[in-house]
Amino acid sequence: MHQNKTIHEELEALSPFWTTIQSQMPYIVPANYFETLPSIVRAKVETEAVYEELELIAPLLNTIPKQTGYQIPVAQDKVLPVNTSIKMFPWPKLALAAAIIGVAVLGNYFYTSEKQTFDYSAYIDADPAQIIQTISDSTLLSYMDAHEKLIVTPDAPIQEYELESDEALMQRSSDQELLEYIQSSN
Amino acid sequence: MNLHLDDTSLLTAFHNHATKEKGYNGIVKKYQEKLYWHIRRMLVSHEDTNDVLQMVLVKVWNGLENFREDSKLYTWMYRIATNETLTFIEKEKKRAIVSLDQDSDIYGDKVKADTHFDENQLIWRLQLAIKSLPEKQQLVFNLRYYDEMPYHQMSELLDTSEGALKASYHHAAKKIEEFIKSY
Repeated sequence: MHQNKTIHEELEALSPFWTTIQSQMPYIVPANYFETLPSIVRAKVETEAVYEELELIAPLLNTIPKQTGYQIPVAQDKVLPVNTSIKMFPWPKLALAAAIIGVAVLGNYFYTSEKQTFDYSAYIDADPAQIIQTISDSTLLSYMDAHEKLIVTPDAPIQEYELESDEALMQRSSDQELLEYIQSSN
Repeated sequence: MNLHLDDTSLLTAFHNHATKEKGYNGIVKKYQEKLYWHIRRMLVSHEDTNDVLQMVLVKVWNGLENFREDSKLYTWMYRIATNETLTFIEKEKKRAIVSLDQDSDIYGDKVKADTHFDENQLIWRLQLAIKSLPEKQQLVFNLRYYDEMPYHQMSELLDTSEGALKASYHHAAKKIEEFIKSY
C-alpha cells in the first residue's frame, strides 16, 4: 500500500492488487555513502577541471599516462650476509684450480703459436729484380754454386725423348690389357 | 549549510564567489539521495549508480554557472540525471550486443544478482516486473510511484504531455500487475 494518498487512490482505481504491494525499495546503500559523496564529487570536479584545461592547451598530454617511469627501490627486509666461503676454501682445491688454469694457459699459448701464419702475399707481389738488387753479389754467387745443376741456361742441350708409336704399343700389349683399356675409356 | 534552505538561497550562495563551495555542497546534500534513487531504480547496481551520479553532480557544478532558473533546480538536475542514466543504459546495451549477449535481460539479471534478492518477496518481484518494461515507461512509473512526482512536473522533465504520461503510467501499472501474478 502506497503512503501517498493520491498515488494510492490512483493505483487502487486501477486494481486492488496494488494495496498488497509495499512501495519500499529493497536495495541497500553502503554505510556513510551520502556523507562522503559531496567531498568525492568536489575532488572529481577539480580533477575534471585539470583535464579540461589541458584538453584546451595540449590535448596530446591527456592521452599520455601520468605515471613516471621512475622506480623506488624496494626496501630490504634483512641485510645480506657477507660471503665468507673464500676463507673456508681448502688448499688442495685451490692448488687443483691453479693447475687447471696453468694447463689452460699453456695449451692456449702452444695452440696459438703453432697457428702462426706468414703473409706470403708480400713475396708473391714483389718484383724479383728489386729483391735481387738487395742481395749482395757474394751471396748470389754462393747460391748459384750450390744450385748449379738446377740452373737452366739457353746453351744447355735439352734431352729429346722418342715417343713409342701406337702400333708398337699395341703389339707390346696383351689382349687382356687392351680390353681393360677399351672398357676404362668408355 | 542548512539543508532546508530553498533553492533560490542555495543558488545565490553558489553565485557568490565567497560562498560558492557552501552553496554547491548545500545543493548536493539536498538532492543527492533523490538523484541516487532515481538513477539506482534504473541501473540497479550501486557501483553503476555511483559512477553516473558523480558524473551528474560534476555536470551540475559545470552547468550551475549558466543556470538561469527558467526551470526549477531539481527538475533541471533530474533531467541531467535522466539523460546520463539513459545514455549509460544505451552503452550497456551496445556492449551486450558486441559480446553477443543481446538476448539476455541485463537489468533483470542484475536484480537477481543482488545479494539480498528473494523472489518470494513481493518487493523484489516488483523490481523484476519494473525491469521488464521499456526504459521510458520505467522512468514514468518510478517518478510517479516512488518519487510521487506530479504529472505537470514530469511533463516538464520528460518533455511529454501530461495525458501521455498518465496513460503510460496506467499501462505500466497493468503490465507490472500481470507480471507479478504470472511469476
